Amino acid sequence: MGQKLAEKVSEPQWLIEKRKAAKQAFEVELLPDRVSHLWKYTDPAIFNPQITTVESVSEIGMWRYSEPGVEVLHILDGIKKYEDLMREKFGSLIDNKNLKLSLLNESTWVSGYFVYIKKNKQSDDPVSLTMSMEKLKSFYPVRNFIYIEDGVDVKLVEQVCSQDEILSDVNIVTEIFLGNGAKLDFINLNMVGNKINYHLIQRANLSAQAQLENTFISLGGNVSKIDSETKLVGEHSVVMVSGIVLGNEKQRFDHHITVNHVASNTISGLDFRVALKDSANSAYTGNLKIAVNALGCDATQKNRNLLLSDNAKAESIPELEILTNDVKKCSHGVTMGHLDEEQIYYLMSRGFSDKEAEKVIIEGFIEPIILKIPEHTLISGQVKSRIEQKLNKG
Amino acid sequence: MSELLTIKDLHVEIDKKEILHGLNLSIKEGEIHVVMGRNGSGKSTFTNTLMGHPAYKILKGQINFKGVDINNLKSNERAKLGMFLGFQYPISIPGVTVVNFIRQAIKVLKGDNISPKDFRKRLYEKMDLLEIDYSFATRYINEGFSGGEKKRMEILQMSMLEPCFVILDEPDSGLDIDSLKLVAESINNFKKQFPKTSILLVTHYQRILDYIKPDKVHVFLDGNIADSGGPELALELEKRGYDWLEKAQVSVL
Amino acid sequence: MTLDLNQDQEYKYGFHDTENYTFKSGRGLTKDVVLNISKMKKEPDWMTEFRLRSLDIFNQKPMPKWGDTKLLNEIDFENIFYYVKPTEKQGKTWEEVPKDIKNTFDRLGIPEAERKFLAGVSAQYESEVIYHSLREDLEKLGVLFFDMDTGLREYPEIVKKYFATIIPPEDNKFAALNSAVWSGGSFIYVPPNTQVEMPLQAYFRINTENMGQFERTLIIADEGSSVHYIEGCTAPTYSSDSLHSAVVELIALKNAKIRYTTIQNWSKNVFNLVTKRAVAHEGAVVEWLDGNMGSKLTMKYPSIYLIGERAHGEVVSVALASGSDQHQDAGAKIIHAAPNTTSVITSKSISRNGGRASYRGLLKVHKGATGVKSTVKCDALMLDANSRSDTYPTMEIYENDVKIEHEATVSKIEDEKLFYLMSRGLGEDQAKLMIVNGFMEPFVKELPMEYAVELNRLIELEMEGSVG
Repeated sequence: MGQKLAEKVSEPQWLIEKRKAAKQAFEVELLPDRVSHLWKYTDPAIFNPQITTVESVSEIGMWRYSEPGVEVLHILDGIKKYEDLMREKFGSLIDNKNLKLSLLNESTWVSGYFVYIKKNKQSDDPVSLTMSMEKLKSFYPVRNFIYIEDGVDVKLVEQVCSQDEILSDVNIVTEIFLGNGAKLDFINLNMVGNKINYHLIQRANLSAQAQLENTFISLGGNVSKIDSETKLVGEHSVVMVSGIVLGNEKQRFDHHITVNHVASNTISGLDFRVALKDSANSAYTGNLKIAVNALGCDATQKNRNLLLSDNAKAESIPELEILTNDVKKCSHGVTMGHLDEEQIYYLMSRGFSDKEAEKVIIEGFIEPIILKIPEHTLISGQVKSRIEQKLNKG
Repeated sequence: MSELLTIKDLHVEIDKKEILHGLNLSIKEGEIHVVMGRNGSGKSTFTNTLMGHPAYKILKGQINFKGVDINNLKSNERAKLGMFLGFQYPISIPGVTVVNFIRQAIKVLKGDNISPKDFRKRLYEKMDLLEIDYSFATRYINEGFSGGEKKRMEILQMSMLEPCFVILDEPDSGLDIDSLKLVAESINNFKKQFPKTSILLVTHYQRILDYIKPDKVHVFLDGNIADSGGPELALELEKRGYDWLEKAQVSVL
Repeated sequence: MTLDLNQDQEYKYGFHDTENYTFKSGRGLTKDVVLNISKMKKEPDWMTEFRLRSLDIFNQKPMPKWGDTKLLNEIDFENIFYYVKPTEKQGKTWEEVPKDIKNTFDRLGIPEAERKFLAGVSAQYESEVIYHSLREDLEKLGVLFFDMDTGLREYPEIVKKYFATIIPPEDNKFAALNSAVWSGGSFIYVPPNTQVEMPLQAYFRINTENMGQFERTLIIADEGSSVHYIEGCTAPTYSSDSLHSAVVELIALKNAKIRYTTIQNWSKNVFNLVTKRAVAHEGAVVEWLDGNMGSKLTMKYPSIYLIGERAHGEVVSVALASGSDQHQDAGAKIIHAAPNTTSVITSKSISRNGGRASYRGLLKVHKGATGVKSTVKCDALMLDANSRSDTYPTMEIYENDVKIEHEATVSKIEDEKLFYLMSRGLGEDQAKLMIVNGFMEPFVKELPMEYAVELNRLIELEMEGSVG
């Protein structure tokens, strides 16, 4: 059905072929097995919906970007306008790690953003990519393509939201290319309602000296699965992945973060903070790889879990696969536990109630990551009120 | 007395940046020299170069020790010639006990297979002098030691290994008055026992010189010796600060 | 003596004896082989049935899909000898042991060690325990220390009560294989409030090419008792592979303490696929000290189920992966299933000369296990650029009143440490060896003196260019 729609808006022939091939492959491909840790804790079948209504997300505010050097288009318009670039790069970062689900996206996507940031960019304002879902019982396959030219410095906020009570599925695939020395500050905000199943595949490719600040703020969703992989293919490239998960009620979050050090002297840092209330649960699986020929790399990984109720559950597998001894530093650390009673005691001695003290501590716990959201924007206000609402509930 | 160490026109770089620019110095047998200077003036580059740290590259010049050109000697070969460096920041080595480490070092340096019993006796004597608890003998080198304990451990190693040329890189930093006195007394005792041993003492402060009397004082500035003199130079520095010297330099230029 | 870090040392225990055996099964695994083992051992019916059931499970279970699947799939089950009986009679004194077998153990230093500091010794050669002894005073206290076959014959009630309760054949394919063809291993029972002060030791030796050794060990420490068991293993170097697949079950009853020490030094043609598991009841302590020096592929994750309040579990493991023909896939599993239980995992691995060392671990806290404290620390040292280190830790925490910390580091020998040691006169190789030994120290210091010395020597040899 995605195919019909595509033909309607006259997609280029190569794209139609691509979709066809993906559709055929999708039919025969099995869901990923659950032996390796990518799907150990969450059933992939959740993200293979039987819903037949395919819908587009509303790309709120796309019209706003008519500045020099900032090209923000509907993905299809982008494909048409930059056909040569897209024929070469579109889909090139998609591996077969989550094959069935990326094929599902590839064959059915109908909406998403094309972002091309060029050297002549002038404004330093953050570019916001908002995807909103309004319809019940629908499937939203979204495809984003982000291309940052050499040496450009930009801030992007990818925000996914929905009406509170709608029950739908979203499958997003985002590809990010960073040119030599490019700097991207990227935030993925999961603000969907608590009934949506949220699946995101994100792939980033960093050229020499590129820097990516990759932040996940995961607040919404029924079951949310994020599979992110950054490939450091250029020397001296740097990625910092940080994230917060704030789960309540019966929410389930599953983040799989891979950093692949392909080139020498590359640096990565991971800081993932999970706070869980009620019966919420979280799986964090990280994988740091340093290739044989990647010398002098520095990789650290941290995962902190705060279990705030008797029924909260957390799983963590921070893997390291190191194929060279020429490492600058390579380490990971995980902590799991409940709120520090000494801290609560300290705050209560200053007059806070136990509930208030708890809230203060959780806010402090997620604060370093929240600080990454551009201040005084519509988005930061929305995030804050969503957090407030989650902390006050129950 | 004869020359123990002669340094001529020494240029040294680290990470492709030249730090020492044509330094000259000579130290005679039995002398105590003091090196003072600000942070970043090249003092630690100098001590590490003397001991043969692989990251420091000699671009030009010569270091002659006991008549041997040691430019290309590894640090263990320098140690065998009788050099010793008391580190500014001694590194910890997990799992390697102090007693095992010092014993092996003595074995390598002196070739003597001192019996474990005699060794322990000697070690404890020296530990007494430095007021180091015996339990430190079986602890892992510098692991979990306080700043002062690390410094005393360096002096302990010096007195056990009995070198003929001792470089002490800020043995006084981070010490309280009592520990400083202990360390200084140990150095003096050692010097009394081995009068022929020469000492190169790097320090920020005049304080330690209340206990240890130098023959010569050198002041480092921007990777070279800016001024040399007797103990009075240290007092002058203490009074007037390094700026005074810097200005004096400028006026000379 | 000069050290050469770039060369592999020759395996010291690679010699083998000529075969002069009472019985050797054909190659391959069939129902007849299993029945024949059971019949020769004159086993009770329940055990024969257990073996046959296990064989079915083995045949049904697929090979593991995780771990080093490439190496695992090299195992040719049809090419293995499943049961080899070297002699008719078990010796009570070393004089009773057939001469060439005794020579082997002489060369391994076992009788000498026994005289010096062991409370009991068991020596297994191929499928059977050929020598066995226990100090008389312990015998009088009621301590039982036998080979597993004798244990089954003489104490069937105890064996039946505990056997395969910790590791059922359904657990995994190799546990099923062991359950079908097991032979030898140790059976230990320590009566309540009895402390076995000196270690009991078992030594396992494979001699035949393509041999499969499947010993089965069961240790029960009754309330308030304590015991330390040590095992060592070696095999000759052959061009084709042997298989060692043991099952070890430990039961520490209320306030009991079991320490189980392994120094595995199989030759590099042995697949070492072992299931080891313990349960610790209220206030009990179980410690696995697990040293992996040899083998082609080791997959072994000693586990502890802390099922009683205040039980404590500890795993200290070291692995040395040396050469591109060696993969040490080792680790630990701790399951907290009761309140106020505590655990510590310390893992140290060294990879060199293209070797691969993997840590694979699980830390699980069940709901209701409040007040749990656990620390997991994994350090990997890599000595050269073509080696590999992996860390696969898993944490599943289903209770909020816990305190869990996990840390892992991968590093090479730091230049600053080398400089420090060399500035005191040590040569580069000597300094490196000192750093490596220091790295292993948390394991070595837990060993009885004689083993610590032996292990340090082993590391030194492994790091050296040649023997001697």
